[in-house]
Amino acid sequence: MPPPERQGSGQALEPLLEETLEELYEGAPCGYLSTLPDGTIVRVNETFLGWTGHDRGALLAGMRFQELLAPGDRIFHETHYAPLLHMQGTVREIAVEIVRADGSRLPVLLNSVLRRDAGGEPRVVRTTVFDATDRRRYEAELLRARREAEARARAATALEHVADGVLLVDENGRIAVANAAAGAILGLEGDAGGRPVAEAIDGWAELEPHVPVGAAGREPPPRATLPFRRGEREQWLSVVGVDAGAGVVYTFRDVTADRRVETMRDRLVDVVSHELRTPLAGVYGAAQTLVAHDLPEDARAQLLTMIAEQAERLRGIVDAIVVARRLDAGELELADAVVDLTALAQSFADERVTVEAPAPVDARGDEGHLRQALGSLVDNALKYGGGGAVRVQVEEQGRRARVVVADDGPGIPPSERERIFERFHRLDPDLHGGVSGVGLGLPVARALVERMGGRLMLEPAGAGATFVIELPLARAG
Amino acid sequence: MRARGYPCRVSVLARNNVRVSGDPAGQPIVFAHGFGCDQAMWRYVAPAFEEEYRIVLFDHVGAGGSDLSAYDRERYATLDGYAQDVLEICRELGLEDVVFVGHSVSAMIGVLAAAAEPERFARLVLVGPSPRYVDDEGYRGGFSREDVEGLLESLDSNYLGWSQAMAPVIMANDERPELGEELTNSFCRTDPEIARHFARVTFLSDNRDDLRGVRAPALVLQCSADAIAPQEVGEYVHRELADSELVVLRATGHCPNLSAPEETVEAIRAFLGRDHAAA
Repeated sequence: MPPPERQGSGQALEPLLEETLEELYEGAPCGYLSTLPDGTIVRVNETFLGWTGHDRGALLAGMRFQELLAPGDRIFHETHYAPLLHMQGTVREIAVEIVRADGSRLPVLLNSVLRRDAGGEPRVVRTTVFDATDRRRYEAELLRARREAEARARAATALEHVADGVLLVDENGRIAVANAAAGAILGLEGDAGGRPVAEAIDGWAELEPHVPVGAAGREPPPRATLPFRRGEREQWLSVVGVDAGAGVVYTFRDVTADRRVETMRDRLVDVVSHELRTPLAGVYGAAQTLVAHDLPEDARAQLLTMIAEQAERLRGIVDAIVVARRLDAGELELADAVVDLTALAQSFADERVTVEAPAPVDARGDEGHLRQALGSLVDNALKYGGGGAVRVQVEEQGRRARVVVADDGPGIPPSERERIFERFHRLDPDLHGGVSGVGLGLPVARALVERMGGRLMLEPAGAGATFVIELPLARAG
Repeated sequence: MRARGYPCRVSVLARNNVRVSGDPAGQPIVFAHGFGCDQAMWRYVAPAFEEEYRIVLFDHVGAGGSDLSAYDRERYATLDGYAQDVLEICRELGLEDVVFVGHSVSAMIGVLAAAAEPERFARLVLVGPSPRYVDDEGYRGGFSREDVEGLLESLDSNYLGWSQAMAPVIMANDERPELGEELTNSFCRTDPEIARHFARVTFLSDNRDDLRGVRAPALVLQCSADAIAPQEVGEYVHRELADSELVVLRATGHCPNLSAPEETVEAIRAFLGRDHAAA
């Protein structure tokens, strides 16, 4: 049932309705435009005119809508808006700027519908225009934020793949950022973000006070090379920090390997300066004495013997260095021949060295270098064995041949058991009767035996020190 | 050194979303879409040639159903990369005696392809061509460099703004964009960053010198009141081509293939018919 007020007032209703529609069209909170398919403006509302400052008469005098657009938008209109409108019959939310009468620009959103006639021919385009000033500003912000976020994401990717460890510790001492390399170097497990650094990184508390930290924007202080212990592992880190305000950024590099090379070089210099100088001084002194004094024959013979011994000692040191160097460079050629270990061991027998070899034992290896390795073991036993007897024993065990060299000396302290195989490492002379050495005998002997497919070990038990060379038996295989 | 070509033969057709229809034995007619759209823009024109011709439609890399992963900023830094794609499609399909119909920037892409392999192309139809959009001394293209920057901003607002950012979410499950008419602007979807680059390459290119390299007879289809390619540009193209015909359509705007498909079809038909008779 129609509302009561409409009853009997049918005549007055039509103009009223028309007026309402007119008001709605002209005063709507958005712009309305009707255009021919080519863009010619045929109708426009007050709102649009008010927003743009254009004159209705001028717009309706054959002006085309695209002419109201900024040139860049005109291209967009022709290449995007128009094709879409023809294909879809409707387009939504096209963002363009309308050039106002005063030349300023109004950002708008366009929604358009293409009306076709009964024959399907395009007849008229109805367009709604929304003021998008605020929205466009917001979108521009959004776009900027998005591009910034993308740039940040790229930076984060780069950071993650930096070869150096990078660690950001915030002012509360918590890990804010740790890249993959930092995780690997410092032994971080899983996502360490947010964890207190001292808790997450074993050894941090000892390391941190020694790290040089520079101020942001200044040239960073020189990196420090510091020992870093976590659990059993000892590493050397090259590290520096920069106080970034909201925390400290540390960069790390694991220089343990470099450090080992440096240590080796330092030790070599020590050895050369000490171990070579002593025999050289002896040779020089003896030679000077021989030149300056007319000595009796026996004294001359004694000095000449001393020169020969010291020269031999020098040759031994130089040989050891050369062999070590050639082993490192892979230049040492070793024979793979049958070696009679029993005969080899027996050649070392003398008043202080007893050799037990129940039966001939043939092993595979390089006889000359095997003699050198065994010689080092026997020499060590004589030097460090406290003056007692040295026993050399040759035996077979399974498919392997063994040469055991044992002494009755004080033995090797547990802390030294592995280190004696490091180059240039020597037992403390004070604890070993003042005996010193180059520190190459054992490491070179071990390397030589290993190159022959064997092993050189220090036996764990027993009084004194017991070294074992194990080699493949010649008849095995 | 990175290989510039597409790795595998079959992939050329996938790369450019090539669609072949019409008479398999007919003369091939290749339709190339312009900037801002895809092969869908030939939907009112191409079917008119199906009876007689072998129809080849495709999308430029970056547009429509093309393989976006094939986009290479270096290859497509000039229109030559797009012309190479056209030639690769022709080779792949074994097309000879080709009629090439190019709209807008593709008119120039066709010019480059025809100049590179003249023996392959029988006729060119250039719809709204412009060899240079930016004004130069003694030449009026209709735009300034600032206008092109304005276009890039316009692309940003439309592709990267709120509505378009949401559109892919709405369309995510829709494998067939032609079904999405009720939704937002679903035709001619382009990767925003590629569109930006393509816009820059297109509107800052200068291919005026390439026009003289074309031997094939050409039809220049010029719209009335084309805001992108003004009539004097169409006349320039007509003048520079060795053998061309200029037809000014009653249709206005830049896309007569959409706004006046019948008139467009008639003009192309007349040109091809006449040329056939002459040949």
